[in-house]
Amino acid sequence: MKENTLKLLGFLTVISAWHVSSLFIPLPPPHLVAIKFLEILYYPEPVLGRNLTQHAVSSILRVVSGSLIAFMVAIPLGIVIGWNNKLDSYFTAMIEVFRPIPPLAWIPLAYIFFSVLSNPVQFAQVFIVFVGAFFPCVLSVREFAKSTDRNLIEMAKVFGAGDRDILVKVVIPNSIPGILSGVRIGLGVGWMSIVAAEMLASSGSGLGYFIMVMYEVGGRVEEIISGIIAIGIIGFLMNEILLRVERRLLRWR
Amino acid sequence: MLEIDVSKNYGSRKVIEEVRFSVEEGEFVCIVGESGSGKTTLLRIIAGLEDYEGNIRFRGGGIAKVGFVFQEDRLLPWRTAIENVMFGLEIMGYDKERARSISKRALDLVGLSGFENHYPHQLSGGQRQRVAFARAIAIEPEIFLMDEPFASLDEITRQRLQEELSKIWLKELRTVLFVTHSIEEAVFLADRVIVLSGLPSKVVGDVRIDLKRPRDRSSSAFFHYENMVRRILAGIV
Repeated sequence: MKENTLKLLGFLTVISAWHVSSLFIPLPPPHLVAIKFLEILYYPEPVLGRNLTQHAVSSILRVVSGSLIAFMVAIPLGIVIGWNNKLDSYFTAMIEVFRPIPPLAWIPLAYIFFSVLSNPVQFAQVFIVFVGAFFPCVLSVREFAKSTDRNLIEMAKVFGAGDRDILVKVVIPNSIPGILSGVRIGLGVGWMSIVAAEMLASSGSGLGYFIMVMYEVGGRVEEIISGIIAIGIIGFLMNEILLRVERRLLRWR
Repeated sequence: MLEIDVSKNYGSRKVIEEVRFSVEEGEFVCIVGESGSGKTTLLRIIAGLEDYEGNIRFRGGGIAKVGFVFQEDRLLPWRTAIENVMFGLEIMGYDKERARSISKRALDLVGLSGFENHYPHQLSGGQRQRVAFARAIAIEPEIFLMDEPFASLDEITRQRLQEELSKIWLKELRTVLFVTHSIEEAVFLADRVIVLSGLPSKVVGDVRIDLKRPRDRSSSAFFHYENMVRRILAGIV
């Protein structure tokens, strides 16, 4: 069977299983959810007065801003510590200690920190995304910068390259695959973190917030599942688009 | 004239002991010796990659520019063939246009016209090594240093590249120091073969190869020179 046929078959299996389960447990069948999903994609859902697209856009904006800040720090830091062994020793142990802390563990602290600001919830959520996106990105970039072939660096030296040339013409280009996969993975973790962060505070909009409110107003399962599906589709698309960008930029491989 | 007089220790271990010889400008000199005899170290010293004791003088002063060809091609995989050739020129501060036209000519010289925009992974081992040659040629070095550049190629490719290198050298006539462990290769390419002993390296032989180019590997004169070098290497002089 063709690859695409098998992929389709996988989805059909899940939907069939869902349909069968809906006969026995309090779960709306797939087609009702599909109708609800399409409806609220465009028509505002009455409790919050926004449609699903608007919630998705708010979540995406938070993720993009938090991730961009994270990448602006993580990419240069990853290159520098991957290149310089002393700075690597200085930073990496510290990074390894902070890395296993789930971004969500920072939420209460973030709300306290940012409570002095006019808009603490927004800042705290961007911060959570930052924490989620930063670590995978910095470690991926570091690994590639570190793996720069010593032979290539030596070749550059023989041709008269100084530290700057070596960094710009050898180490950074060599790290580009690491930067791209770091951005992709970082964005993925950032996306997961924001949805959870939105559930914990009244942010007024966002997919996580939407799901939480739909639960609190009385377990509106169709809306909840619609929100979950939106999260899945967006996460998948972000990953897929970035994978394509990677393949395009790394034609030399 | 290039005058070399170097010693090198790693801690208390002597690797090169007063290796002393001089090379005329435009001369093609091969350095042979058993593996681990410090041949590569000697080239790396001349290229400025390693510390040493002693003196290296070119035209009475220091060496301004060397072109190095390594055993591995050491091409940047994210650059096309022509961009790889441009590498040294970019570092020297040439503008892109000029670097590109010089590099184009260098690629033509090594027989790679039409491959300018290929990435290294699209080229064969022999073609990649040609790009590495072009990269060294493009910067117009005063001295070429070659460290077993054909060692990882198959026999047929290796012979073809030896012949082409010989031709290019006849056209351009530059000073070449070529390290190899193949006696045949040395006799085929060189004006002079310098034989190094095992560690610590010393010059144990200096043979002038008086054969017209292109050389015939199957001639008795060729065989005679091979044997001469072989005997020196074996310590039977």
